[in-house]
Amino acid sequence: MALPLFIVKRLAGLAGLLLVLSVLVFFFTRAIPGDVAALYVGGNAKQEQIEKARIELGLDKPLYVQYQRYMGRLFKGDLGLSLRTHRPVLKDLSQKIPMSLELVFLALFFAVLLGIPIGGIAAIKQGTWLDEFIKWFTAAAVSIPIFFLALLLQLIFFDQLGWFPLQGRLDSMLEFTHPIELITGFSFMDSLITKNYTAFFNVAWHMVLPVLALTLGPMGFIARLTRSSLLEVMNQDYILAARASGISEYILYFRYGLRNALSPILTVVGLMVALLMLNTFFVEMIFNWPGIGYYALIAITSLDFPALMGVTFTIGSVYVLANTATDIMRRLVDPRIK
Amino acid sequence: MQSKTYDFSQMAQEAIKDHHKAWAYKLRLFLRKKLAVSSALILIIIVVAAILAPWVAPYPDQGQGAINLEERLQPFSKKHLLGTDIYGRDLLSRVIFGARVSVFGGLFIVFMAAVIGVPLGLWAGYREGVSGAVIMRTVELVLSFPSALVAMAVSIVVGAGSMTALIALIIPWWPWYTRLVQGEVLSLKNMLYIEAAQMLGYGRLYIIFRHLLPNVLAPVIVMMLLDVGPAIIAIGVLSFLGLGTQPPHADWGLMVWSGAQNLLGEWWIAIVPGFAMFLLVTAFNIFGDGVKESLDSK
Repeated sequence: MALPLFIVKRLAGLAGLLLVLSVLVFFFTRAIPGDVAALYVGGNAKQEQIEKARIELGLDKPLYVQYQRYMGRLFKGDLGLSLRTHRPVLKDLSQKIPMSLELVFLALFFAVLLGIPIGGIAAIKQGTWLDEFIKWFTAAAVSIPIFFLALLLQLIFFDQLGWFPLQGRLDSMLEFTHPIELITGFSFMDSLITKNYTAFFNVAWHMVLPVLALTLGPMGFIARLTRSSLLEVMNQDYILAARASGISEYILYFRYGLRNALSPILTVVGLMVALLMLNTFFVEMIFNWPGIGYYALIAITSLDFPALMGVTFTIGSVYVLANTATDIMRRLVDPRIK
Repeated sequence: MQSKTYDFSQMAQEAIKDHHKAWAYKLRLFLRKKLAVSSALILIIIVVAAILAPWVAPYPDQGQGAINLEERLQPFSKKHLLGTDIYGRDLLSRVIFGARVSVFGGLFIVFMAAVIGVPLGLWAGYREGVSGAVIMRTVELVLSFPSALVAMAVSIVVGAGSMTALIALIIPWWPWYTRLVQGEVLSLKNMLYIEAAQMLGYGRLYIIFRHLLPNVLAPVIVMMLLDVGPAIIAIGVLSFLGLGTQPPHADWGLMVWSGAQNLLGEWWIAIVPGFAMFLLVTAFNIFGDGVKESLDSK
């Protein structure tokens, strides 16, 4: 299949998937037990108020009419009002998503930056104690449950050593003296743009443990994959030919081998984004990080269904988008794939 | 002129002997891997402890939820080797009983995923027609959504519980097996022995189960072994969120969650079950890797 045709097909598939996703999310939120109208007006509301809210929210209409309205709004980017904050969900999300993405992207960056060389070294030193150690270490890294790791980091680096703060994004003092202006929503960027260096370093300090917790698993995963993918490539004839011509082993591995081993690694980067989006739930919950996971958690406990719908739709879309993007990337990087 | 005679029964016996030799060789390869063998030992200990929980746990009643308020929040001691939790329950006993959910739940998810996924994959690979296409489109559809989110959504809608959590995890899990098996069958089905079986007039199902299934089993078993660890984590994730086992039953994810409230004082309440889960999952992963490497080598 020609490349442009492939991309067009994938994008058409993407549109279909997003449509299915919207249907699933709609029925998911309608199937949650609990009276939404009663939740909307709050605890001690009278029956008439609840009925009024029901009409206001359109919950008295048949399901297919509700679905039509929901889809119509979705196309305009309207995700409804949060039952808890009574603000547009889209507005809430647009503030929370950058906070989470900041953690996810940093973790992904470090996971790739460390994972590929670690896997490469293990491949070069195949069979030595170093390889065995890396094998053990990376197996442990992918096996550690994220919530356990997050708690362990808090226990060691806050409780025992006192090196890093327990939780939050900014010291509460700084929230008043050096508040971060909201421009892009990314606290790193915003504090740099406004030259608020005090806040910048404070945020960085708060970020170390959550990012470390997020990085370890994907890093182990990428390292393991790099090792096995590289070893497979190194058995090819052209490597033998290159080796026979006397090229140094490091150049052989990192210039000739790695480039061809990269395609399966790229495939999992999409998967890693999905894994990280899930893991931020736990990291944000444990570190009180004000991102989308923390928001979703409150939405679940307070049965805030428009908020929950928005979160589910966002995470689902990120996942679907990441998958499509990696598929296209793989085609661009490796012309052998059909 | 003397014609050469073939002793077919002897040839068959030699082939069987070679086959056994190959397996013995693979077993020896595995036994040479120190990490994998020690993982296997850890696994055996945990699985046996989980099966025999009522007999090996020092305080079986507390393991099952009985409270013991006089001995709340005690650190490690001779009486309570791993300390006690907020209700004074012996943590070692709780961890042993909690192992049941993790070990058997993890195995159950993977087993069911394979039981559902493998036959569908065999069928979709062998019969590429409409039914095969429908199966593969479904697989792609399910795999294009985040599995954890699907599982959480199912648990929220149906209501939390251990069985719900397991089913909620099987739903996004089986397509991986269908995809793996379908791919294998596509390359197997042009082999000579399959064509021979077709020409001998064997039925579709006979060929699928007698000739194709045994040949896809090795990659399926490897995938199953490597999936148990992630399945255990997935169960832990759901119960950590309160969507799995309900108190007072013991479950590692749930224990970590409730212990997290006391992290900065009585750290062991959260760390002990968390470490147990870490140990079990690591052991499964290293064991699975070891088996995979031994099987792959020719």
